[in-house]
Amino acid sequence: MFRKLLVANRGEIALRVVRACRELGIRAVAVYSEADRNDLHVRHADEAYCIGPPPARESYLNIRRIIEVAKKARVDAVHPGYGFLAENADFAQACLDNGIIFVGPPPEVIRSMGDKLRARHIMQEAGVPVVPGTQELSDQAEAAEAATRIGFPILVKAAAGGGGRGMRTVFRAEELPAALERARREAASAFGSGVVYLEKYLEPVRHIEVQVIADAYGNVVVLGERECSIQRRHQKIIEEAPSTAVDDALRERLMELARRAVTHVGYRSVGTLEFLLDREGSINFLEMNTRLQVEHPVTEMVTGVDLVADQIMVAAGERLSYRQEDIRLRGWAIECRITAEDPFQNFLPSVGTVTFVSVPGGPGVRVDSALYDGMEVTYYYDPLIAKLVTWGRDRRQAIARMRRALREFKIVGISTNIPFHLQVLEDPRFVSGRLDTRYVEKHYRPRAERGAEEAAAVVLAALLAHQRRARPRTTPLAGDSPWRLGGRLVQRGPGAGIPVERALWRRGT
Amino acid sequence: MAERYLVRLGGDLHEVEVEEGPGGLRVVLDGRSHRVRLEQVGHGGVPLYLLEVDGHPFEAFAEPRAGGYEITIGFRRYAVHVQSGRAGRAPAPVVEAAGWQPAAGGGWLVVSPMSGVVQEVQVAPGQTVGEGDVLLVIESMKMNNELRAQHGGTVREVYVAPGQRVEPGESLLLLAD
Repeated sequence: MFRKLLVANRGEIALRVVRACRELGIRAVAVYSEADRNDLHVRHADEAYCIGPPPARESYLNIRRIIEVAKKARVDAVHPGYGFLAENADFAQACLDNGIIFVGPPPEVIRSMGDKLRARHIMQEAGVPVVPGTQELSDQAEAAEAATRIGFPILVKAAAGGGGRGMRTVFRAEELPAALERARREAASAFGSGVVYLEKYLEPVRHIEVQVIADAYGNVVVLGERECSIQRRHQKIIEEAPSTAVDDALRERLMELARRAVTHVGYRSVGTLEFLLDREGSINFLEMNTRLQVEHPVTEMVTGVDLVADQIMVAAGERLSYRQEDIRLRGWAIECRITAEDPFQNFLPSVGTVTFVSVPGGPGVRVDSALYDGMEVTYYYDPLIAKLVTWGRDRRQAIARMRRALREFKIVGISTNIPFHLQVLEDPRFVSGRLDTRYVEKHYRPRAERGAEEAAAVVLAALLAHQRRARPRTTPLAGDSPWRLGGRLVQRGPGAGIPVERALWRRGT
Repeated sequence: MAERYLVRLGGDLHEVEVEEGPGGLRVVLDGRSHRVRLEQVGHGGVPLYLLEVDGHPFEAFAEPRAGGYEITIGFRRYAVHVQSGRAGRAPAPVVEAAGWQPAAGGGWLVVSPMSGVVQEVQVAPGQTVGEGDVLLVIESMKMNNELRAQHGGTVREVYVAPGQRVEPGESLLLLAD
């Protein structure tokens, strides 16, 4: 087993990996940019090193600097988390070249799965169906001919893209030449490769993915499916395991396809195969993610497996401690990604200081969070600030717990997408499990019920201003206040009941 | 004796009278009278208030800001400006985050709704744009955000260039009707 491991990431996922290290008895080394000096992953780690200024390019994506720190700290292994360098084959190779184990698959596997065209080809070889599409396009005539054969609308995708980046939808034949040109240019500048291809645009479609883990001895265990159909701009927002669209027969088939693919590729570590499920019930391979996923907790909740700990153990050369027949899916789990975005302002990023956080708890609730009082949310990084996961014996209970936990989550100082989650979790369409990847676009309109709240804010502002200057008598909530009767207050801190004006004057305001 | 306050929330100005009587606090909001109770629950950091309006409870966080408070109720944040009625002057309007402001010399000043880095400027001075056209792209938190024209017009001036960092409220361009 490793003695010391460097976590090449930030935020909640870095903390998740540090926690796994702690449980495994491995010393954890954190890295941080100048913007993240006080963050939780830094404070929870055994050692921490600054790797550069806030922009990711100069810190969390700086391979040379991270390798330098890894050597200086004499770590045995590097865990890349997700995002940043997690699917960067050059980084994986640089680790190996410096005698450090990369917690993930071999670089050549990362490289082939990162090339969407090559991945499609390999999956077809393995007998896994892929979304109908083309090879690399050489000229406009060939593209037009292929598009006519596949049919419109059609997707133009960058071979080096993925995760929803580097693709555009084309609805009519006459738009195709311009769209191809633009996609080529964008792909060349964003990914360093202008290779594009066409793929059938399927709609309505559900996003179903399969979690796998494999060790170095050919043992492969498939850990069931997740549904990630609730997306916005191709970014997943709500995930669950299992899926309401998958029955036992379909699950058997998905697991068989995943096993076949993983075995064919010679995969090791944790990984995810993404599929699209269309209305006719056909399943087609979309892409493979050669890393830990953001949504891994829902699988952990229904299988009891610790994916991060097992990923580290497999990387250290240990055998998987369980077999396929040991895996039983139990209950239902849902994850809501809490982001610093304002759903009432078209999900505008919300930056600022988090002045107060109160995290939900109680039965069946798990919070993987990077939040703390005083945290600065900056525009340098992804807006994900926490993941709220609930488990229930069935989907109904998981939903009930999620609604309850979302209401308990208090984050003051920035706007979050919690109101979005509440609205979706209360929508009969979501509750009935009728989902597709365009759900948000088709059904989500922000609900504005704030007349009473606005009035309360106005009244409170006037009262506070009044108390500042007039020093009125206090009016504590004694006796039969609805607060006490209803028990709506989640938390009462020390000093409860301090008369308002005293507290204000003491603050020196 | 009742005290009068002018409170601005968004674009609306409200008149609030606060009176302390033997039965507790009485508040008149825009001419309507309400029974109110208020208690502060001790907290490190941001004060949490329990506010009851006509028996209806609200849990509110309030942080002092220049000229008022930022109040969080439920999952919404309200930037509230307040001034004593005696001063006889309405508080200045709050500049809304999302950015179209009538410009002093006519037309519209487009201001940045967010912190970020300008990725693309898709218009140039002299160019005519229609409602819904993309003016600029600002990258924030890994996402490219398209800023679209809310009115048609002619671009008079562009104040930013790709690669430039912008903060909320910073002027981006000037559009003439």
